[in-house]
Amino acid sequence: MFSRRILVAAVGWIQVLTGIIAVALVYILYQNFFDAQSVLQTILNIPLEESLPLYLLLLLIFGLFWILSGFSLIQEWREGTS
Amino acid sequence: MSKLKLKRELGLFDGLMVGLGAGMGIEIFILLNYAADFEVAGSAVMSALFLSGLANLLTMLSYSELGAAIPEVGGEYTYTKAAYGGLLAFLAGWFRWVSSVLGAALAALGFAIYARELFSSFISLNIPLTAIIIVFVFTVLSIRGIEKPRTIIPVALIIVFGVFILGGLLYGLQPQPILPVNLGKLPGFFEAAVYTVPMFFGVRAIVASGAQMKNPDKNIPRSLILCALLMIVINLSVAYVAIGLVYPENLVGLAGSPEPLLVMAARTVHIPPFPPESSVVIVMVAGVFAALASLTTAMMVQSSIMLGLTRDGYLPKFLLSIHHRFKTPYIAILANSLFIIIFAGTGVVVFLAYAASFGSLLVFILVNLSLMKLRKEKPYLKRPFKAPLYPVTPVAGIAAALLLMGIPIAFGEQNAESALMLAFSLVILALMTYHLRMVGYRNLRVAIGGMSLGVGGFMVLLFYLTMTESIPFTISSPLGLVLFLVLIFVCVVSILAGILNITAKSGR
Repeated sequence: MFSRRILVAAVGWIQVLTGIIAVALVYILYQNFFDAQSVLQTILNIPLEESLPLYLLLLLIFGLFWILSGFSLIQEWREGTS
Repeated sequence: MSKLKLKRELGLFDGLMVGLGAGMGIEIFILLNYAADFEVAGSAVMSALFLSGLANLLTMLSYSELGAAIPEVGGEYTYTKAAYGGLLAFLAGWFRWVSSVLGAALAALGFAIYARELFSSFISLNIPLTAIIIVFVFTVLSIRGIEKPRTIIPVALIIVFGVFILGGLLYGLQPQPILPVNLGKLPGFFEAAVYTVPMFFGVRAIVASGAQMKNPDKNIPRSLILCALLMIVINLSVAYVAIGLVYPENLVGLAGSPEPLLVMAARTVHIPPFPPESSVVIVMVAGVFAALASLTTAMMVQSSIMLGLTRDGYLPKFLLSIHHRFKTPYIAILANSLFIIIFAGTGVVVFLAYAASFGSLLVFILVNLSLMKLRKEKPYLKRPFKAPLYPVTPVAGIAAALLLMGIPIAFGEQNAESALMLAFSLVILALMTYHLRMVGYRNLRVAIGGMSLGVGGFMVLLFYLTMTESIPFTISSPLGLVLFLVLIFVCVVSILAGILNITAKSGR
C-alpha cells in the first residue's frame, strides 16, 4: 500500500502539472507568443493554418482532463496520509 | 444543505457599501466605449442605461423579498433551491458562478487596460498578459486570506465620480439627444442595453452578505432597492457627463479606440489650479482601483458559490479542502482562478461582457420564477418584505431579461449569438456535472480511469502506426525527437493514471 500511495501522489502531481502546462501551451499557441505556431509547424512538419483551432481544442480538453484526473489521485493520496 | 452560521454584524450602511462597492466596478470604465459607439447606440446609450437599470431594479425587488424571507448564505442558489430544488437550483448556482468567472475575467482585463493607460509613459503593457498576472497575484492574496477594506473604495469612487460630474458640468459639457431618435438604430440600442446591464449587476452582492446582516428583514430590502436606485443615478450621471464632454465627433469608432471613454472625457476637463493632466490621472487611478474591487468581489462570490455547490455534493469534495496555515479554501480558489485566467487570456472584452450579461440574466429569470413559485406554493412563508404590484414586477423582470437577451440575437448580433452558444454549451456541461453527482464518486473515478486508459491505448496505437510507417510522420529536428519523447511520457502516465483510478478502493 505504501508503494501505491507514492505512485498515486507522483502520477497525480505529474498529471496536474502537465495539465496546467498543456493549458498554458494552448494559450501561448492561441496568442502566437514567440512565434509559437510556426515553431510547432516546423517541428511537426505539417501545415497548421486550418487545423490549428482543432489541435488547440484537443490540447485544452486533454489538459483539463489531466488536471481532473490528477486531482482525483491527489485526493486519494491526501485521504491516505490524513 | 447544512446551514453556515455567520455573525450578523452588518448594518444598512454596510449593506449599501457592499452593494455600491460591487456595483461601481470596472464595468462603467470599460463598457461605455462599446455601448456609446456611434454605430451602436451613440448618445442614446442614456436610454439604454435606463432600460438596463430598470430591468435590474425590477429583479432586485424579487431579490429583496427572497433575501428578507430566506436570509441565508447562497443567495440565488438558496432561493431557487427553496422553490424548485434539484436541477434548476444547480443551474442557478452554476450560471451565477459562470457569470462571476466571466465578470472576474472582465475586471482583470479592465485593470490591464487602465494600467496600460496609466503607465504608458514608462512601459507598454500587454493587456491579456497583465490580466493574467493580476489574477495570479489576487489568487495568492485570496489564498493568504487578505480581505479588502469594505468602505474605502466605494467612498473614494463616489468622490472621484462627484468631482468628474462637477468638473464636466462646469467645463464644456455639450447637450445631447438621449433617446434613440432613429428607428433603424433600435438593434444598436438593445445591444447597448446588454453592454450596460453588467454595470448594475454588482448590487446583488448584498444578498451574498445577507447571512451577516443585522435585522435582515429590513436591511436587506432597503439596501438592495436603495443601491439599485443609486446605481441608476450614478451610472446615468457619469455617462451623461462623459458623452457630453466628447460629443459628438469622438463617438465615431469609439469601440475600437484603445483609450477608454472616461479617460477621453477627463482629458477635456481642466480644473485650475491643478495641472491639466491631473483629472486624467485621477480617472485612471480610479479605474485601476475599481477593477481591483470588482476582481476581489467576483473572486469572493465565485468561491462562496463553488463551496455551496460542493457542500451539497454537486462538485468534488476536495474543493472544500482548507489550507492548514491560512485557513482558506485554497483548492476552490485555485480552480476558480484557472477558469478566470483562461477567459482573461482571450483578451476579448466585448464577448466577456456579453457572456457575463447572458449568465446573469438567466439567473435573474430563475430568481423571478422562484419568487412566483414560492408565492404560490408557500403562501404562509414569513415575508418581511413583499415585492410590490405582484405579479407585475417579477413578470416584468422576466420580460426585461428575455428582451435584453433575445433582441440582439434576433437582429443577428454576432457576440449575442456566440454568448448564446456558450450558454448552451454551459447548460450541457451543467447537465453532465449534475448527473455525474448521481453516478457517485467511485464510478466517476472508474470513468476517469477508463478514459485515461483509452488515451494511453490510443497513443500506443499511434506509436505502432508511426513505427511501422503506416502513417506518414517524420521527425525532422531534435525538437521533434523531444516532442516524441514527451508523447511517450504522456502515454505511460495516462496508462498508469488509468490503472490507479480504476483500482482505487475509495467508495465515498
